[in-house]
Amino acid sequence: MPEAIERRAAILGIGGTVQGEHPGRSGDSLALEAFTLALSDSGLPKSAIDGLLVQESFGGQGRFMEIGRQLGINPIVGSTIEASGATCAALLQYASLLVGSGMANVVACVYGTNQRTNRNRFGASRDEFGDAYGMFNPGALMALSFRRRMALYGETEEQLAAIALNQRAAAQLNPNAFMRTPLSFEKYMAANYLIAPLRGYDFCQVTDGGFAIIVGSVERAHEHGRPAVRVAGFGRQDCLRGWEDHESLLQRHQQKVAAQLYARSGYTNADVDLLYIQDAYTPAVLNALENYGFCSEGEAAAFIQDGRIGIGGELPVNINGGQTSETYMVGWGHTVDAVRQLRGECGERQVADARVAMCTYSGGLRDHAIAAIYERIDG
Amino acid sequence: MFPASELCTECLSMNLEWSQLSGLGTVVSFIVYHRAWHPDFANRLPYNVAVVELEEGPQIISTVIGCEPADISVGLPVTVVFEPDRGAILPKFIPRSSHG
Repeated sequence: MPEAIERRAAILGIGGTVQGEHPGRSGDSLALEAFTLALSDSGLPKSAIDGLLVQESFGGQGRFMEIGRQLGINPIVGSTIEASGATCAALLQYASLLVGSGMANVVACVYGTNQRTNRNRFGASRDEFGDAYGMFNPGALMALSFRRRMALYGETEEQLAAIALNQRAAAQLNPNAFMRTPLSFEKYMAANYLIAPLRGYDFCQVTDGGFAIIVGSVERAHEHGRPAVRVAGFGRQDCLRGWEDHESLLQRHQQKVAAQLYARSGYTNADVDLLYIQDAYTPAVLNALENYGFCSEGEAAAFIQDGRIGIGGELPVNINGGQTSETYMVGWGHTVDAVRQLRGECGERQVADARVAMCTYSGGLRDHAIAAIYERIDG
Repeated sequence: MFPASELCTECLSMNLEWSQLSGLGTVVSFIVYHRAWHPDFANRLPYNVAVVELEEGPQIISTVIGCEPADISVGLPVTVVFEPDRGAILPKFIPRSSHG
């Protein structure tokens, strides 16, 4: 196949505000702050930015024109993009396409939200078809997914604990993480069920914050003088009529994303040094490990035990703390941490010889599935 | 089909009709709410939401009633009942062995 066009793109700059609680700040304000941090990280002047992609944000925030106007940028390409929880990846995929095609030179991708202090009641979100039965909270579908896994594969709630525990332990080493108080197995199991079989620590906490990522050409990435991080490939598969695709309850359409991604990048899961799985709820990690080929079907709960997915383990997963412990920023936190790891900036929590990082993103249980591989390139 | 659409997702015909089904199905998965995110459900805790695969093929969302939560399992054969619920009639499911 012809070379995947996104491979011409690189991550020139990353920026993230403090994550957690920002009373009195709007989502847009946090997005703007994140942009300034990413621009500074890139070393570029603002005049170099000719593309702008904005993630739609709670409360009418995240509108492309408003963000562009506030920044004083007049892009030649750009838009607000909405792909629910997978929007970060959608922005980066489009940014890579714009840069790779030559239609734009440097595209800034931004997101900011004040959903926590403005008490966006995610919990009360309704399922269009299930609300008559009380099917509230976006965690409902993932809870249904894990229950099915338990029945099909004999997985247990005790095994599931390893995800929350692994991520909280990782977060304790991450200065950017919001949730850092120690979590033991006993404390995890003692937490009340919210939506059985899932407990309190299986759910991420809603947070405020902003992130920005600046995408430009691979050639430009080498100008900075530090290890460059390029896009090795993307894959995407939507599943918009999930109730008709019975396999989608276990997110099996992610396998199509994997096939695209590995074909476009030339890598397989065996090449991945560290993995970030978007995890609004912990069972997401189980489904993704199987569907992206890191373990066999039905083996994921066993795979995550005994430190295999910890920082020093065979396959580090969500070592930023994941969304359950770092920040609920729908893939942005994972992506930015992947870039930091690939640059070798992470100090005591640095994964040795990190060269290839994979991030999996999701919007809803199955509406959108996107995945990317980012790699370090020298010289 | 479920969910409903204005056209058939296979042939794109906009000429759709309602059809009578057997009412038989199997529980594909289920969850139990221990927290009420809506006041209407506060006095029903704990309550279950189930995905039922109908004999005819489609999966739908519903709830299993007429038994203890501990008696609900993935694979449980069920049959539909139509129940008044807050001014509407909702399809719900009972374990098939109790249908008689």
